[in-house]
Amino acid sequence: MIHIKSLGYSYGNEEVLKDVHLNIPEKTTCAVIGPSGCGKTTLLYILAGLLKGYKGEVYVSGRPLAGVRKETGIILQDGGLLPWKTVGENIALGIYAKRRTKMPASLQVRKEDKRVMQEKIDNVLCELDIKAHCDKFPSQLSGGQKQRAAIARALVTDSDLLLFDEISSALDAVTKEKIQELILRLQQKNGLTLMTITHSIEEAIFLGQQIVVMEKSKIKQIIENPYYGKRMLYSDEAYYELYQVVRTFLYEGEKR
Amino acid sequence: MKGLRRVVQSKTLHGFLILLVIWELTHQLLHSNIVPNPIATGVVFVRLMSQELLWHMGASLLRIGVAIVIAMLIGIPLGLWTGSSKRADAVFSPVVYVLYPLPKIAFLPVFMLLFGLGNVSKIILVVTIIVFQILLGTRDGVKEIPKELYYAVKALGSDQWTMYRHLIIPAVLPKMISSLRISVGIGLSALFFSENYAASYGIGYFIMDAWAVMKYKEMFAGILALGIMSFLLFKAIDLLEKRLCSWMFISQ
Ligand SMILES: Nc1ncnc2c1ncn2[C@@H]1O[C@H](COP(=O)(O)OP(=O)(O)OP(=O)(O)O)[C@@H](O)[C@H]1O
Ligand SMILES: [Mg+2]
Repeated sequence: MIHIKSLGYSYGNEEVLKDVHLNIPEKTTCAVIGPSGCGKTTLLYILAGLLKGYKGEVYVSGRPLAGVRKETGIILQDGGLLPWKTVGENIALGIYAKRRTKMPASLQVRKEDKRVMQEKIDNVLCELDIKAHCDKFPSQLSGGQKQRAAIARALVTDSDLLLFDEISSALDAVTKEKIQELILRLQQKNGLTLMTITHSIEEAIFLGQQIVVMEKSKIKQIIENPYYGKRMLYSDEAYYELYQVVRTFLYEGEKR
Repeated sequence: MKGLRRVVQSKTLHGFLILLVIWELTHQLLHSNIVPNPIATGVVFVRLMSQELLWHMGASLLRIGVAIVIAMLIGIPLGLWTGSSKRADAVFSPVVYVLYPLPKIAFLPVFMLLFGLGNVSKIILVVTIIVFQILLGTRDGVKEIPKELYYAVKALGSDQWTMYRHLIIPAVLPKMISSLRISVGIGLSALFFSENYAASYGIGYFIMDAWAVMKYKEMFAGILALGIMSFLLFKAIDLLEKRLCSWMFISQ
């Protein structure tokens, strides 16, 4: 699904990504973990087609990356919900924005079209259990509800690739686990490809079939993870070992 | 009964009462007909309203209204453009910075020479004064949109139109409305000034005319009318804000 070959990127003179190689096969997941400022968000922006002028090659779904791709759903570090739109309107924008580019303006919002759209929105709202909050504004929601709404917007357009940036960082322990499980369920049920950035080793192990440990502007190590989708206890020896391996790589990356 | 209680308890009314008390006190202290008492002024005001005062108010409202619309039609697109294009900003902003503080009022004779003594030169004067306010307010509003929000909407696959319609314009509306408020304030003062010259209609003309013949009650009735106009304009902007930016007023 994602194929990255010697990718490099600079903001002005500051080189923030160099020589990155990464493969994410279709319908698999990848968790990216690394110290603050190492270039995780930049990598995600590039994959989302938001940053141009990178070096190297990036293929998404077999084709060279060329701008924003309709089937990619992303959630940025703060959710990116528009404060002047209700949850329902925010989700509708996901559909509307993609529609526009496909259809001539005169055909856009026909009546039955609106009904289909509303049905789709209702479906994701139910799926994510935020139907009751459909008419609220983002500022009226809790952190977890906001993230659900953001996920709903990323899902509503039948995405096949999801790019998530620290979507559980600001949540309490229970909500965090609930969101992680929700993502896992949706990913498995719909056969989605997922890249998720996180600061939590546990989350990386729970959500990533591959765990990509980054250091300043580089990939330090890619770890195949047998514990993807399983809630493990630290008392499990092998799990604890993996945890320590990731931790060690993180620390080593931090030092340099 | 309920309606009456609402009026009595209205904060707006309390504010006006305080204003009237200060006015009355000033009148008592000065002990001069230069500041007539509020009640006598009110009587004159009511009488004049059924005569020519309403026309003067209408003429001024029309001028300021047209000026605001024109200034918005020029200032908003330019503001959106300079806000979203670095190159446009680099070309335009220095020009704006030079023109903004120039005393446009000093150019009134030039405008009158070019555009005649009538409405056009007065409207153009007000436009040149407030257009920069609106332009800069809009531009800064665009610049203040968080990068993440911009990326989030862009990543949905939005085209240029969707970006403006759903992100940029709603994001700058609050700032645009603030600059509109400031514009009404300075626009009215500028209009008042311009109506002192070669005018036979307009609230500025009315006030200064009454002053010239020392009819102080008439003059104060005119000032009262100007205050009412200003109040109505600001109220209209408040209403506009409540309608367009309703999301800012939800109780949290
Ligand atoms: N628009 C920008 N202009 C210049 N430099 C930038 C810009 N955005 C990010 N950077 C720099 O690029 C580097 C990588 O930033 P990035 O946001 O990708 O880090 P990150 O790994 O996502 O960090 P965090 O975990 O804190 O979110 C940082 O050193 C940052 O200062
Ligand atoms: Mg980041």
